[in-house]
Amino acid sequence: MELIAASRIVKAVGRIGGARTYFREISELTRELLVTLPSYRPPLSQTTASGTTVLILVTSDRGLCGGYNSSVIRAYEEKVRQIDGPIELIGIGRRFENYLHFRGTASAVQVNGVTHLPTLEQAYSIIGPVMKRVDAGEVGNIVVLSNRFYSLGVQRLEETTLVPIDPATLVGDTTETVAHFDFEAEPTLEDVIDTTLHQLVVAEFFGLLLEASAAEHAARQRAMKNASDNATELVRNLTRAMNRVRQDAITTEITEIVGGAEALAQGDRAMSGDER
Amino acid sequence: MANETFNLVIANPELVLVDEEVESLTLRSALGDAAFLAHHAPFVGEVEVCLATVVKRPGDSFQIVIDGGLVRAGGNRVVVLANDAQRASDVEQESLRRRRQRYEERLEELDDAVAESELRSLELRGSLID
Repeated sequence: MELIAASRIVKAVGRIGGARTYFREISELTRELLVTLPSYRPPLSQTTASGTTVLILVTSDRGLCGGYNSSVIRAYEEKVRQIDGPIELIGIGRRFENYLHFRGTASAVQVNGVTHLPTLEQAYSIIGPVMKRVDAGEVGNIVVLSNRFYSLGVQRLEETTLVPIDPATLVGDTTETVAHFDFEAEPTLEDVIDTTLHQLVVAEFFGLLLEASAAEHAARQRAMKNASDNATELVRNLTRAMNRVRQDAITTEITEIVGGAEALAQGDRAMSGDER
Repeated sequence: MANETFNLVIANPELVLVDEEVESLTLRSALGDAAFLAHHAPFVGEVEVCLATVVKRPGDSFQIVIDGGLVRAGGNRVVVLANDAQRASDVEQESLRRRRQRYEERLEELDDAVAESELRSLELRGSLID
């Protein structure tokens, strides 16, 4: 299982690299468009006090991956305490579904079979309906709790706010002048900004799913490596104990044989002394 | 004399399909067909579901199905950020059949704009196979 997880990490990391170009480009474009038209305040970038908070939890479908799922669940319990308004849950992964089932509740939407190999279609189908509700003003915030992949050794549970979008977090050099971004736009700059912001949310969410997938495989590989190491240690200790017991038995047997032989020899000597 | 070229990047959220020097790109934007050549003026626009044509040099071109998205030009570089995209030569019967089946299964839950866009995309891909 350790080797299988290791081979899956390579694929998962490759997919993160493939998705990075799109995210960087759309993030840069969004920033430039917002700089070009500073008077426009797109709805997706504005904080709304009212409206439901949609909380998306990304866990795995299977276990044997160390603290990967428990960290998400712990963060969820803490987050729920912090949020005042109404919350709607979108659970990804059977582990979160099982946790809620144990608590006698369920997510508004539950999607399984995603983190093993997330697809773009799955990302659209999860985030698309939520974005529509954001546009309708029903949802004010979208927050994702998921594991981020930094390296084979480092994966961290992080909270990502997809909506409202904070323009300060967008990729790019903010020192460039406005004149540099003098775009001609079709249909209008405002429409294009809204479209880029929607696409940015989809790209970021898809990126989070890819990172969660890579983090899951890395966590599973580490858990399996620890299990293998522990098993090796256990085998070594048991082998040592077995050898000791066997050696004790041999020593006892030899002692008995030598003792018996000595007793016989003494008997023989006593008998030959009597005969004399 | 060879025509001037520009750097073309076509990417979807999953991967980069094209990143190379080309002579021209033709696609359908929100207001009609648009062609991009080297040193195009700074431009940003929405892209419709369409079959884009990329000319690398005279006599060497290829086509890409773009399922909507954005196009941005500037600095002798054109970037197409597609919702999804696929090289026309990669469109094949079996995957199209599966996609059509998924579309029919999900039709009830899709809103009109998404359903219409997906239908156009399916028809476009279908026309490439027929």
